[in-house]
Amino acid sequence: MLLSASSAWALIGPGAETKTICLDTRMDKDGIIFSGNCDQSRNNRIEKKDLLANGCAEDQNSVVATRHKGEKAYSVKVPVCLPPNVAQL
Amino acid sequence: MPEYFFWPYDEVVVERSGAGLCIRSPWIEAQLPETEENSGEIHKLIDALKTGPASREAALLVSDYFEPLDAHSLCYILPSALPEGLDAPISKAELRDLNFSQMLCAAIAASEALSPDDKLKLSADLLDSRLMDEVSWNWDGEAAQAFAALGESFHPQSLLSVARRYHLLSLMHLDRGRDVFASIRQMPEEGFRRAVLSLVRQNHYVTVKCSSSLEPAIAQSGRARPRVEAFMREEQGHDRILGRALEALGAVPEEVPVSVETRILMCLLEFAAQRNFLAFAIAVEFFERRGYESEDPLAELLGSRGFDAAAKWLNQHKKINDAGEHHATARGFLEWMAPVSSDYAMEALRLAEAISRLMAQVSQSAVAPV
Repeated sequence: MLLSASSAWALIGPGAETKTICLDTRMDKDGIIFSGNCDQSRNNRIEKKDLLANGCAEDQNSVVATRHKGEKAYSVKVPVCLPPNVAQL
Repeated sequence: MPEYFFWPYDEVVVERSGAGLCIRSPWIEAQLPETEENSGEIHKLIDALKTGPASREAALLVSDYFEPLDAHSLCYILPSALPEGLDAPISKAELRDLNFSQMLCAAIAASEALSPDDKLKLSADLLDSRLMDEVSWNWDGEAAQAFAALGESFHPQSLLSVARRYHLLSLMHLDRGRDVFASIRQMPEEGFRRAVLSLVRQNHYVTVKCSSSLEPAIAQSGRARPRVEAFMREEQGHDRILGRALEALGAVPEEVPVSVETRILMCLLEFAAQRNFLAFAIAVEFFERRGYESEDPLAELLGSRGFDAAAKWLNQHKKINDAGEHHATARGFLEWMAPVSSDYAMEALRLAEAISRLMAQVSQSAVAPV
C-alpha cells in the first residue's frame, strides 16, 4: 500500500555539520571556572596554535556545535563578545 | 557598614548543567562544579531565582551566591537601606539638562588639565567631528532611578550597578573594537605597525592624563579620600609602561596623534571628578573593566606579528591592574556615600553615558582615516 511505502532514501538520516567553538577559560581562587564568550577557533588557526584532542588550544574549553541539513544556524551560538578595553587607566 | 544584596542582571541565565551550576551572561560564563555538599544549595538557589527579589529569604540566598561574582559584572546591587550619617554628595547637579554634545563642550571648557591652546584646538576638532551631531541620550535614566529608589532618594551603588549593565550592553552594540582588531590582523606590515601604534598611543594618552583627571575627585571624596588617593598612587607610572611600549614600536608619543574621541574621553573623566563623585566612581568602573582573556588583547595582537617587546609592556600593564583588582575599586569609593537626589542621580547617569559612548569609539577612532 502506498501509505505504508517509504523511500529507501528516507532511511538515511540527514548529515550534521559540526564545528568546534573554543572559549578561553580561567579558574579563580575559589575554584570557579570562567569561560569567555569569544570563539577563539579562528585565532587558533591564524596563530597556528597547537591544538589538543578537544580541537582547542591550551586553557580553552571546547564546545561542538551542530547544524543539520536545512537548518540555517548551528545548535550553539556564541554570543557577541565584549570588545577589548584600550582605555584602561 | 552598609549591607549589600546582589541579584543577577536580566541577561544572566542560571541553570543546572551536567557539570554543575552554569551562570551565563552575554559577556562571560561561570561554572560552579556540583558536589554532594552543595547540591541541595544549588537546588534552593534555582528556586529562589524563580521566586524573585521581593522575597527577603530568596534575596538573601541569591545574594550569598552572587556576591563573589560581582567583580565579574553579573549582578545588580539592590537598593537596601543605608545607615544614617553617610557623606552627603557635594554637587549642584547643574549638568542634568545638558544634551550629549553640550556635555562634551562643557567638559572641555571646564578642563584644568589641558592648556588653553589645547582646549581651543580640542573644541575646534569637536566642532568638526560628527560627535556634534549627537544630541540625545539613550540610557533610560528614569528606569535606573526607579530601580535604585530608596524612598525619595537613590542608592548610589545600586545606580552604579545599573549604569554598569547599560555600559556593557552599549559596548556590545557600539564598540567595533573586535572588528577593528580583526581588520588590523589582515593588514600588510607597515599598515599593521601604524595601526597598532595608534592603538597603543590612545591607551598611552589615557594613562598620561590619568592623574590630572582623577585628582579633582579628592575634594568630593569625603571619607573615601584615602581610597581615592591610594588608587591614584597605584596608577602612577602606568604612563611610563605604555611609553615603553611605544618606544618598543620605534615611536615617540609626539609623533602619534591622539584622536578627538580619546582626548574628550579624558576631559569627561576629569569633569566627572570635578562635579559628581558618583559619576566619577562609575567612570572608574568603566575604565578599569577587566577582560576575561588571560593575555591583554592588544598585547596578543602585537605578539602575533612579532612585536614581542611592546606586547610585554601591555601585558605588564594588565598584570598590575589585575593584581591591584582595579576592576573592583569603584564600589569601594561609594561605601560612605549617602543616598542621592534625583537631580544628582540623573547628572551622574548622563556623565556616565557620555563616558561610555566615547569609550566605545576609541578603538575605531585610532584607525579612522584622518
